[in-house]
Amino acid sequence: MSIDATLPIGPYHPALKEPEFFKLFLDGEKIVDVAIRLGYTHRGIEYLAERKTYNEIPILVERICGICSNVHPMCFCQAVEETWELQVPDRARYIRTIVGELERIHSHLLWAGIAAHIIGYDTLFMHFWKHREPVCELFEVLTGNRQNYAMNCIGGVRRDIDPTKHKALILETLSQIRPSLLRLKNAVTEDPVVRARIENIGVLSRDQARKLCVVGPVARASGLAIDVRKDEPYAAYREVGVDVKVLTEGDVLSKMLVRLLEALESMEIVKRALDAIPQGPIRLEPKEIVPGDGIGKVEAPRGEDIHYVRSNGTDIPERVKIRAPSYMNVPSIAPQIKGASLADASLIIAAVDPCFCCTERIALADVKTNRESSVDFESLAQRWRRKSKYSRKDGCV
Amino acid sequence: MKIFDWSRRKSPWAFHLNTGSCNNCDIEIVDVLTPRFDVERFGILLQGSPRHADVLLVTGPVTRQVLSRLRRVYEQVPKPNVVVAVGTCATSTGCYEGSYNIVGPVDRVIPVDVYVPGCPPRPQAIIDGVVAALEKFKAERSD
Amino acid sequence: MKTVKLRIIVEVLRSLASRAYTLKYPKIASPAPQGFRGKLEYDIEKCTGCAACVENCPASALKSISDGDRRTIEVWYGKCIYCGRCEEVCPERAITLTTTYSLVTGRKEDIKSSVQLEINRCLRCGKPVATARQIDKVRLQVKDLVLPEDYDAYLSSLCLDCKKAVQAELLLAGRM
Repeated sequence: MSIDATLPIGPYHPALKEPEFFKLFLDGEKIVDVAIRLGYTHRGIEYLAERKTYNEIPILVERICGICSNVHPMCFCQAVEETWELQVPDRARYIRTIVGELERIHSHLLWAGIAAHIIGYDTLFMHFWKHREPVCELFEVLTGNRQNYAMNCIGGVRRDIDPTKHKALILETLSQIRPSLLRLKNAVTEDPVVRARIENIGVLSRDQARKLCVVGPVARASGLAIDVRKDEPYAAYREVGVDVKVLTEGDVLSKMLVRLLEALESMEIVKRALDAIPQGPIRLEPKEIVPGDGIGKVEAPRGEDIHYVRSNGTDIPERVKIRAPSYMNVPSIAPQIKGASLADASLIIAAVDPCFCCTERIALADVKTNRESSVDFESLAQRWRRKSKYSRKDGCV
Repeated sequence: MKIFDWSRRKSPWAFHLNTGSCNNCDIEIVDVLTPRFDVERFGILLQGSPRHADVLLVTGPVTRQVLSRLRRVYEQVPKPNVVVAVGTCATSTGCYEGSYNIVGPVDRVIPVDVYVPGCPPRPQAIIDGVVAALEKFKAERSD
Repeated sequence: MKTVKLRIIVEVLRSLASRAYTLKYPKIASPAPQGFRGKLEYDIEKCTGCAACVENCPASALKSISDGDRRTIEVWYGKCIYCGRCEEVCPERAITLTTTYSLVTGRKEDIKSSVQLEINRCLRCGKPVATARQIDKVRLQVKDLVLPEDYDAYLSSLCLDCKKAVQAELLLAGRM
């Protein structure tokens, strides 16, 4: 196949909510190859985390991404709790589970709406987002904000779930959206026009998925049964249990179905956790800062999120490393999109549910010699600040 | 002419620009179009091209890679227009101050008419921001 | 002919039959629920000017400016990320995050708020020490220490150097 055209998608495109750049190499209407270039949302979170105290970092890492905004602070707190050997109270573990699963529901409904919008089905987009609203309003009552919950802190959670007011509200909200969600799931599977748009598009085979180490619903839609909640249970998942949904076709329809089935399963998990939640304190104040390192792993709506923290005994961490799930899923766009037609390009990109703001980490590679190198943050910052000064001089009003 | 001002105020078309934000403000902007808040009642439509827009909704602290694109998009939006900086990051870089890759809040690069602080601002606050921005169209013509 | 079940039609008809879901804001008010993390307010009666909030703000939205006679603690709502850390760490519970969410403005310098407290000067040398409320709070906490009664209030109002000097005098005089 010869390349006779290249089409740039991005950084700003009507179908995309974040700046990202895809260069599609085309042979007529068929896509031959894709070049992915990111970096527009790099804010230097790891650099900032090494200059803030442990209590400020959960609030900073919450703002890595808006849709996974509970996952990152929970993962960071778990990493620090492992480093300092803190035992989180039981009630706090259950509250973390409940908030995490409610966030999964809202994230999957958000994605389903965006996917429906991309295939041109605006009615479905509006209905998915309509049924997502009660979850956002529930969060506003439980946590004080629709998106940035600020629930997790080192040693537990900051706010309690009131058994009289909040429990009834959560159950009422879930019973309100569950029948509609079932109807919308059937609207996807039983509508021949929708199936024609998303069935057998963007297929990722099981071998490809394993080789590329994809995580999350993308892996579970290709037959890999991996889920951190089942493999390495954290929070209250060992007590509450999870039913992992796995499909084998690997196309966009499977990815959509896995997410919708997971959203329904999350509702059951929340109900089980609310029934079994024990009484007790919600927060344990850490007594001392233990030097050492630790890893926190959490199943985000997009896959496995890993945080690494190294502590040197002071109140500022020595190193914080974040590996977001989209870091593993975005390279899998390339084998899925090769051979597809141009009209399906944005759907295939959206089907892996990429969260580019989560993914913006930095590595130094010399393109000419094909070698990676490492440099400490301070010299990197000095080099970039000089460049930013020149950019500011050119770009400023 | 009065009829142009009236039309601009009654059906402002918006273009949304993310200059490196965490996506919370962007989700709330898309939320404002969904059935719960439904700004289409005010005639606001989200457009795909800056050349079709009257209102530019900017989110995010400006990162170095986005800087030149932000200027280019601003130059393509036809005049008169209003720029609304949505979120604390667009107003003042928020908690990212001191990072090597942040080139400063939006008003260091393009002139901003209305600021909507919040992390993220509630959709009702974004509606307030757009309504305040539309008043600028009236004010611009009167002086 | 195969019959196709269009579930979406059922969903659409249900939406049409039920009450309109749209919130008619701004025609009707839409207050935030209790517990919403909105604009922060200071209670000037309770604030001691200790600046614990300033130290713990992740976004550096709070500033403490001491210029001799006055300490000003200023918050810039355009930088605040509404996380609630200041409310958590304030020892006097002088900060509350209210339910005000709409802070729209045309000039971002206008959305600032501040509290001002008088700083007491040292009774011996005149250097600024701390706010009156901070001094009273410390006195309350050290009231169990053995201090000669006529010197208690005087000692608390001194700067650190003068305090050391006066305490040395008292020790030599055998009164401590």
